[in-house]
Amino acid sequence: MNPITQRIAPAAGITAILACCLLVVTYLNYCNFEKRLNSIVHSRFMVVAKDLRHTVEYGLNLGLALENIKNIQSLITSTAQDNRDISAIEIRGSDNDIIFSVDANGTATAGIMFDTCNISLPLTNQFGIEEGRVSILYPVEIVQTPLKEIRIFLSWLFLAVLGAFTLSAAILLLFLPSGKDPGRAAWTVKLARNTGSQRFLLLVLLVLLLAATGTVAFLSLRKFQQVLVPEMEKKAQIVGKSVSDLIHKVLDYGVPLEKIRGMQPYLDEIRQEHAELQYEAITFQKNIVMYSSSGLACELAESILEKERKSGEQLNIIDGRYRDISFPIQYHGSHAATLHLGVDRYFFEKQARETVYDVLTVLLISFISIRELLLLIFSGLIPHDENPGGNINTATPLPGPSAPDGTEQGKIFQQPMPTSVGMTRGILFLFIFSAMFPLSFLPISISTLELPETLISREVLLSLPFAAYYACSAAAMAFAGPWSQRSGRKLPMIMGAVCLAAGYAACAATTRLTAFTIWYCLAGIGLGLVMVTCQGHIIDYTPHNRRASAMAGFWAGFFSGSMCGTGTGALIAQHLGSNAALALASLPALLSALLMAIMKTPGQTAPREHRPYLKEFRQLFSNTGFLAVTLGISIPAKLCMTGFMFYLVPRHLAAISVSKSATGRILMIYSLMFVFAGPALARMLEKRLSPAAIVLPASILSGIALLFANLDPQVTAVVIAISIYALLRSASSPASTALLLEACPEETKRLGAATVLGSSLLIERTGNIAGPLLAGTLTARLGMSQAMTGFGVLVAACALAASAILSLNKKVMPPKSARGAS
Amino acid sequence: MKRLAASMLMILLPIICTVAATARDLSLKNDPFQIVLVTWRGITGAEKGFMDYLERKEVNAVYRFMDCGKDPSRLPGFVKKIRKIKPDLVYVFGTTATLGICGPEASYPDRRYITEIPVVFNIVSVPVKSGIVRSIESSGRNITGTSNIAPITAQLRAMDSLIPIAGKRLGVLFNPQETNSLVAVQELETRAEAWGYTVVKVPFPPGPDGLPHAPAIEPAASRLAQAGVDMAYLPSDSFIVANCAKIAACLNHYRVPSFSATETPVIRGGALAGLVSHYYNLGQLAGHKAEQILVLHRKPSEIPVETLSRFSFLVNMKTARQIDWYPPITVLKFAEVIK
Repeated sequence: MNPITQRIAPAAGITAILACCLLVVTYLNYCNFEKRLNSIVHSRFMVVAKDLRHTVEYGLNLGLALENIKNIQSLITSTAQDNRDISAIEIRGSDNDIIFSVDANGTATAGIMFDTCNISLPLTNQFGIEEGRVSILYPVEIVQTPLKEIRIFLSWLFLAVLGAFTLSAAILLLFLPSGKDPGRAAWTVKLARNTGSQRFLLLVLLVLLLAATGTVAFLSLRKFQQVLVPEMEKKAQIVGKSVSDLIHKVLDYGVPLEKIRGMQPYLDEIRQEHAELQYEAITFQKNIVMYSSSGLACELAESILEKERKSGEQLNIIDGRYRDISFPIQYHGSHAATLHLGVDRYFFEKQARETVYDVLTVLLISFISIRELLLLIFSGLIPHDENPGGNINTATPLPGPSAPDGTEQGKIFQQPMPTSVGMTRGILFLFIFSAMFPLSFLPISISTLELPETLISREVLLSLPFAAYYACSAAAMAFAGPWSQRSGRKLPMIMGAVCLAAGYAACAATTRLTAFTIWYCLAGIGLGLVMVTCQGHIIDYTPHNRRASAMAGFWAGFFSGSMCGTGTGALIAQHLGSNAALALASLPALLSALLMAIMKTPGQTAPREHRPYLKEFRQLFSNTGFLAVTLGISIPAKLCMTGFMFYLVPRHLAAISVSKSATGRILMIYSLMFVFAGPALARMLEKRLSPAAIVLPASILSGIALLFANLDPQVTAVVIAISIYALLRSASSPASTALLLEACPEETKRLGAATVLGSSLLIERTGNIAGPLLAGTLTARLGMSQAMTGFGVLVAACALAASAILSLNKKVMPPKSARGAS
Repeated sequence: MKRLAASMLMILLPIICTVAATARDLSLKNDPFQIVLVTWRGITGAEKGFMDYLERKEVNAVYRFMDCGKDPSRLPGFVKKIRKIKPDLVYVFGTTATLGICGPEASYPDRRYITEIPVVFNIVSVPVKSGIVRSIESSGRNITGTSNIAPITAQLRAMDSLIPIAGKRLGVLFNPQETNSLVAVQELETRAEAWGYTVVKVPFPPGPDGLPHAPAIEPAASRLAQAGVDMAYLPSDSFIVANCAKIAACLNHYRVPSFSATETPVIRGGALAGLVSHYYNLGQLAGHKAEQILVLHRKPSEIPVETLSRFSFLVNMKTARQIDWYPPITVLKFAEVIK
């Protein structure tokens, strides 16, 4: 490959990721703007609709039939005249016939009106029966015109920032040190050998990413403000009119202005309902505040009105951010007082902070994706014979995660690794990205499916697809090994990716739980096939002494993909809906299938190890130590992963009204701990403690940590519980492998470590299957909160039982010096 | 031939049944329903609401009125007349008339009362405690109806919106001879601790005949004012309704804000405020129940006894100005104001 291609390929890849990142950030900003604009416009007309409903229901309360309330026509005509943006107002009877109506021209409406938005409120009589509806129709252009303007603006902004970034990336890659001999692909080699250069490259890319997203966010906000402020002021006009009308009414009842009771709570209520209003105040003639909303709003009102009083005229904008809108209150023909409403022109900026977490998530995902992309590109594009110095894996700047089977505790590669092995990590990243896409929203969206009529409780029924998914995945794992040994790894890998993509796409299209379960099982088969064949592929093409390192790379790709997939899926489900997100989930899987197809594999393969036989299982099952570790530690961990983490947590968070994107972020913590914090803690602990001293307390504590999930404040409690649980699990995961081998030393000697570990992993899968079923059953019996507590108690109790059994088995607690042998 | 006849019969039978059913429906539609209205003190807004509702729903009905003139001894005669007329439905106003026509639930079935004809009662304050029905959900017999009193918690919330009642003294004027009043006082006392108010009970003393009389009102109101109450509660009580003008005048004289459970003391008497059910609206609700029985053929025992889901918050602004005590703006926003 020539040096130019070597430069273009990473630049194109990085630009593509940035384009996706910018696109998502721009889209999030747009969604935020659309939501705010709709909310402001909707609430503006809602104020009018509520006032109308109040008046009409007053008539109904007097016992009048809707059609007999004579002043309704004049009321809606004057309302339409006061609000020129309204297309029509309709009062319909219980049979949906129009009884009273008026359009923008002051005439009765003539049936269906196109291109209008409708706010409709029920009109109920005193015994709760709906007598009709009041509808306010306003033209869609009120929302669509600013949206179009913003879309055009954002498109140009996106292209400009992307162009600037692409240029910067091109310059960066152009000026990176180049080798003297173009035939030796020196740039890549140099970069691959030099950890510092890699760190520098990643740092520069991170800065560029931040700069690009920051620019988009800042300029978007400025533009949004320009569009939204006039809308907020229009709304304030309507709210102000409603408030001043009420004050007029109260004065008409004969209540002296200075004796109106409850004015402050009323103004506070208005401010609470319309958050963009910063203060409301009623003043005498010289801007002396008589009534105002409470707290800081009162001080603000007084200081702003003081400034107006001193200046002697009404100021348009005060302190550069507040717009004071005033309404004179007349009584008996003379000016009695003035109502002031203060609109915060920077209100939208406060609201935009809601999207900050989403933008940060996108940045994190983009950064990890760029890192994985570099691994993939360098692994895939450099032929093995041109890569004597090793690929980028040799100097991964971030510590690798701990593999669940403990093959590696995060050590970085030191020697060259075959190209296809390095590339497998990138492909696995893409595949797991796809597989974990629906993790945060599927347990919630599944409840909207049409359920079959059975004797099984609803909660258990909802958990069945997940149990079936893991069962199919386990079955596929058992089947994939021999198949891939016969036919080669590539075909099962491709088949697996295609199965997952097809399964997810079909799941998105189905509306019935039964069909969904079938298609979801297909996806499960895909997951099982790819997981086993990817590992097999790595083992096949890695020298024996390098397998642990290769497996660490494998798990790094797995958890990175899991983290990015969960976060991205949640974001997309939040904005596009669960079905669209599920359909999109199949795209990365298809891309991974394509990469699998073009992946080049070297001729030589590693010797194959045999799978455990039934006889070997029997021998292992007669060992109490093996049983204690497998049943007391490993299976509960899997139960928790699929039952608690992937099933109960999303449902619990949805039940307490946490958004899908926030749920995704919370679930990302689990993978984040496995990628970053866990391995470092594991290395530290292993230097000081025996495997038993790490695993047993960590398992007990992780069970106790789950009990925190039910405390208040609920979201914080869940975050803390997940963080502690994931940290303890990731830190103790490598040690649990060592503990398993120590628990059955004779069997390890006789059957080999791989057979012992393989048997344990095979049994662990029952935990994956049982997890959702247990969660469903506990939820049906005890409720969601108690089910979560149940998992905590189960994990802690099993770990305690395992500790008790292992403490009786002296072989498990060898002296520290002897641990190296195992 | 037999086969032909059988085939013809098979074809004709459904047609005949359909025609017969349609004819029956048509006759039902055309023949007006016979409804007997038993009133306690002449036609009130409740009966107007009842008839207006059925008319609005195009239920063809003819009405026969039987008025007690506040004399319960006429009720057994009404029962006999009703049996003779055999109407489709009987409407009864008030607790006493309902007990006189339908009898207490405990003695059901009793031939002295109407059991075979559906009955809809109206303006009954406490239908369960007065022994008319077994439970609100189901009367357990051929009657259903409406209750006119807002739940005590709704009334307390309404009072609280006028003046936060926690830590306040809540006075209550009542007739100890009347069940409705005693129930209301008991309910107020039960909730006193939770809401944080103190109940000051002032019963109207009985006269020589064992019943309270108008001269007892002024001393009772004075006692209430001297006790320093922040608000006076007037429960659903026939003595209070009959003497509401005098009671309100006394309370207003002492500038004690008053809150009534029924509409008459606010609209006619001059009490300051009240959370009430309009008789007209209750009549409409009773009409709704009659429609379910007559048109939708539902059994009265299947139709729950209900009160209105939304009550009227009445405020008498004349009284507010007189005692110089104005309700908060949030109350005036939705209240029905008597100017």
